[in-house]
Amino acid sequence: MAKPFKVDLTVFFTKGAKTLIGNYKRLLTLGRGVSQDFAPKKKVGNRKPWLINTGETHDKGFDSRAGKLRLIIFPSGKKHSGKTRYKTKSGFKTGQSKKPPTYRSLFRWHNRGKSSYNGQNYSGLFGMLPLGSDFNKKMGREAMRQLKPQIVARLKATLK
Amino acid sequence: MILDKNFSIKGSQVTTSIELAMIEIESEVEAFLSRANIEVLKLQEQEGFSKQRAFDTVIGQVEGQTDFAKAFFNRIDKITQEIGKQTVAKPVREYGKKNPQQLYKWHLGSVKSVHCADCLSLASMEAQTIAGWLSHGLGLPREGKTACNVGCKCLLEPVTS
Repeated sequence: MAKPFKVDLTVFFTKGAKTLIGNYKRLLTLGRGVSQDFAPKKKVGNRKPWLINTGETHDKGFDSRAGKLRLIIFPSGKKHSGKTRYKTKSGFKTGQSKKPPTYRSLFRWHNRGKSSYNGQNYSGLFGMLPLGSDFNKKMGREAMRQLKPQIVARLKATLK
Repeated sequence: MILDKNFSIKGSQVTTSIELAMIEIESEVEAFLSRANIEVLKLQEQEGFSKQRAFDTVIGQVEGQTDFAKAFFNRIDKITQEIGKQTVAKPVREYGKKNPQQLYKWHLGSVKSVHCADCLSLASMEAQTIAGWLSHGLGLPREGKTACNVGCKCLLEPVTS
């Protein structure tokens, strides 16, 4: 039986994850979901400052794992430092929480809301590649770049 | 590909869409190799090529992605596009069709360069229904009918009265 073809996309995924995390960060800053719908505007509890105002979730809240044929981008399970920054009428107010949530629970809250675009479920971050992403095309090109010499080699072996 | 949203995927025994696509590609390659063998025989029989020349021709077609190899590479592209359909988010537009009375404001997107003249003029208009926006002949944002074409980053934002 012929050997299976070898495709290792670890390096490609490691680089690609950085780009994708950058895209998600941009969406978080703009207050949009992966479908480019608007994030819920109504504040639920006091989680919004955790997400955006200190910038900490933006910088440390994303994580990824890459394998040969596997890419996982997910919110970090680490705990937030607890530093908060709230916007009040008289300016910004900083604080320190004794029991900070994890970044994962913050994103879970963020993705739970109804989109202010149409009142339907907010597309949120994670779960899908952002609208207009050509990551799959690049991945296909990279896979074929690795497969092509193997196809030619197999062809030579079978035809000779 | 797993892009964790609901955080419910645990362990490593999960077949990703990439792994499924690779299985599909491998089966396509196997079929393609059989086809290549037939092509070599065809060139020998019909064109009178020597075995070596026929072999070199087929290898050249594979490397150049031409002739019979072209169809194979097109199929690979289709598999890649299929991954895109499953993993890339789709625009939120269905709501507008279901709610024809809803008014929308043309919201300019965030771009690194300047906005096109079409988008700027549409953004300066008052809120309209989907039918109202379509009546201008420039389509909806990101449909490619404005001057910025498919590079448009604008959105229709519902107006709540």
